[in-house]
Amino acid sequence: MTYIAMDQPRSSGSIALSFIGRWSNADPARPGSGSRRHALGLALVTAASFFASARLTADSPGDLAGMPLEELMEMPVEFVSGVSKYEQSIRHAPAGVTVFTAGDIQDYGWRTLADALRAAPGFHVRNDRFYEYAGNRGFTRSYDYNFRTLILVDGHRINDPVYQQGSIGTEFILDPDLIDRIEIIRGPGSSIYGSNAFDGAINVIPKKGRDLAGGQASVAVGSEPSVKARVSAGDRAAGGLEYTVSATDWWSRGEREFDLPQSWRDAAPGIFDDLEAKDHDDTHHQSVFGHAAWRGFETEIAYVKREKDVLPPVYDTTPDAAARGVDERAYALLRGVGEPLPDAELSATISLDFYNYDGLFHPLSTNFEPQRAYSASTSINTEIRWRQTLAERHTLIAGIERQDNLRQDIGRDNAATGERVVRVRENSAYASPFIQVDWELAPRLILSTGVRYDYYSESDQSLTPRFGLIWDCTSATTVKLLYGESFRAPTIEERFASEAGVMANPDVNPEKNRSIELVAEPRLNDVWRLDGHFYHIASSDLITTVLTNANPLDPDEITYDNGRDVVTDGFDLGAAAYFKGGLRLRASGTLKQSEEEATGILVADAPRQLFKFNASTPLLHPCLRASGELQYVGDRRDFTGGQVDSYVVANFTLRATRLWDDWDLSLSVYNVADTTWSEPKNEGQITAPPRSVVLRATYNF
Amino acid sequence: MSRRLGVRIRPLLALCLGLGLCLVVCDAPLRAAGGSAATVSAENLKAAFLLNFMRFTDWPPATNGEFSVLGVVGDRSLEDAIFALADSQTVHERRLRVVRVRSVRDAIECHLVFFGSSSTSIGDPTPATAEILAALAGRPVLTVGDEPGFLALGGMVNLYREGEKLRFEIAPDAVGAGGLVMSSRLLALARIARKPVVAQP
Repeated sequence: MTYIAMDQPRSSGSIALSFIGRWSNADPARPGSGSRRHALGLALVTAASFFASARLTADSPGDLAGMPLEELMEMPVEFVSGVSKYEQSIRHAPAGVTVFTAGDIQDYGWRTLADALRAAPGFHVRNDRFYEYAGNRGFTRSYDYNFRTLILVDGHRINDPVYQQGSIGTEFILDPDLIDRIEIIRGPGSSIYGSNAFDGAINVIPKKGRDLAGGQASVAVGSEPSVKARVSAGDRAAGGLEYTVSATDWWSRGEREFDLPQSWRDAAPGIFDDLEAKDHDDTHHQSVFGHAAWRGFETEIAYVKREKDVLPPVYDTTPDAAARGVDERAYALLRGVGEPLPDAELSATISLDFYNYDGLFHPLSTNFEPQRAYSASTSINTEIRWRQTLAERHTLIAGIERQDNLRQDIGRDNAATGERVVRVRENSAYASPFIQVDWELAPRLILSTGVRYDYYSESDQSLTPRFGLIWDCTSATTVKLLYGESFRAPTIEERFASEAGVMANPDVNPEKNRSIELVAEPRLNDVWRLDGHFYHIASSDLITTVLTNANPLDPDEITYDNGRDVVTDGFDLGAAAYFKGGLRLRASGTLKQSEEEATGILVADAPRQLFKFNASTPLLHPCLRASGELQYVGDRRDFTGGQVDSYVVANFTLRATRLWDDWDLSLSVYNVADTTWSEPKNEGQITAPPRSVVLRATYNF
Repeated sequence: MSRRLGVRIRPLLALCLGLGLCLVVCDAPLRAAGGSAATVSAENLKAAFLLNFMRFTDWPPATNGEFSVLGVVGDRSLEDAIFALADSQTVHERRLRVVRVRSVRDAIECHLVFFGSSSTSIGDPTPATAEILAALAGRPVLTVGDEPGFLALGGMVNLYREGEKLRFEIAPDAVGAGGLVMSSRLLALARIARKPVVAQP
């Protein structure tokens, strides 16, 4: 991914300028103020209707009481472990949480973590055919790598110390079929996790031995074409040893929807006239995962290598040879949990993480001389935390996390001449104490208070608090008032990767986020539940590119600075229903608006409307299930000021479980209507993938 | 810009309000979920488990009265769910009555005593739990806990979670000592703690 560093600041600079020049149907005199008042009024009306509906029906007796115990034992309980670093009920967690399970992943045929996020309230995901990028209640930046969303596996940080990339596409470290739960935690999470939990955190929990209880061999064949093979085994042995091992190999030929950009023909007339552009972008994902637990100890290893061809319209490269990027990530983790005192739990974790990137491209800007980009990091993360239950009512969790980044390298060479263009070799460390107290002030009223101090050896410190007031106003309705702050530390690239025309800024400060949110989660009865989230988010000191105005030889020279403040107001409304007989519905709608605070101009890649609808129902036979999803993403702007039209996409999956006892089969059709739409890429737009079909077969043994 | 936003919000808002109203008015025919991926609140699920425990346990005839009495120690969040059951449910053809247990004497009056943990904490049983359990030992009161180590303290049934699913373990020795008879269906679904674990000092 590194090579884009060359063009990144320039393009970002032009984006910054384009904010000022375009999109000004806003009232220039009082930017945004009217609309915000309007939105607030609507939010209040909606909130009032929520509470009204909750009061009317909240106390109706549960129908669960009439169900046989065998069925009750199959009902999943709501809990979340990623909000406060300990398991708590979702209704009492100081954040808005959505949980997807392995069943959802299989039923809807989600191929990547990004597919799951597309179905999550408030999220929009764009795919530039290299990586996927999630906007969560806000916006993405061109040339960001999801560094405003923290990705965790079993509570372990996946964002690397070089680009801080939160990988969610095919480069994600786990095969999605191996995921047991996805906890999507919206809102600032820095008070417990530190950097990158800026807009939210996504905690992915892999399947454990007990979930597999045997072996699985799975093959999926897609129309692109693509082939994916996975072998997994896991069990919990009598002695208490629980283990999982799994390996995946997944290849896709990719898409063929590209044309050679006219700019290439214009730039080098005659050269490309007879040249056929490479017409597909191969993806090859290989991953292994292992987990073992015995008594209070567990160990986990994970490795992924993703090789990806990237076509000319996506990034600079000659048309006959795709740019190529290889991402590798690995970690090994050891965790021990004990109860040294009554009502106390002590846990200690140490992990070793590796990240490596290697890319080759042929940019126009160097006259097609091949450029090799590479980066690597090695880090050791240790965490000790203590959880104490006080008087049965209150919970305290405190700990310290330390990360030593032994290696943080970025480099780029001219592969033809061997000349070094960029070379950064850094190392750094941070140490961060944190504490959270969940105190029951009164029956049904919990005050959650947390704070974390992040001390960085090489950059600015951050202190981030979170407060939550959680009130069970009836047995069926919980209301939360949440305030949180979060930050993202600058990347090594932003601070040190200087080259001609682009000056890094070692003094750039962390980005900050402050969010206030009202959450209402009325449960109408055992079938229907609603949730509403109303939020105001002030993002300040966002790192952006500005002209240096310091180099007379290069008036376009730019650098990074904390030059941007953005205000986001909006709400998500959701409804979920689970019917007797197995019909499941989930719908959510989001209205939000992100504006530059100084000018009131709308922010790029921030759709103001999102609507998602998921339905899954048994069909004809209990083992056969049909599931469909419908997603609407409202119009937005791309990073160079162009209009990106809204789109609707539908996906459909038919799934049969336990056929002939041991077989699971499913057929998924993505983009059923073969809709064509565009998504923003770093510069300009790119066509989203056309219709594709995947057939999967899994044998359980 | 405000006009743009306003125009687009109104239809959606109307839809949401309309949907909410429909739900309020027409939720009567909707019935509980049976699908495997339907998530439920832990409180409601635990309450339903307790009811099943009572339905599949036989008490000595001497304890029969007008009501089946379910007592709750601690755990206010579960209390609401259990109290919600009281109006609508019967056990062994007797109406269900739910009481708060504040003393050992309260506990002895119950058919089932549930020792809840606070919904925000998972820890060891408090001395109060051990005290009540000691007083109930050998009596026909079904004791149900929600903490690791509850059976070691002399409890009869303990709830625990396995992944996302709620499970329970039974100490048949303790159940038998109280003169209670559990249905084989209940025993078949439970994890059986045959040998009583040595109690903590």
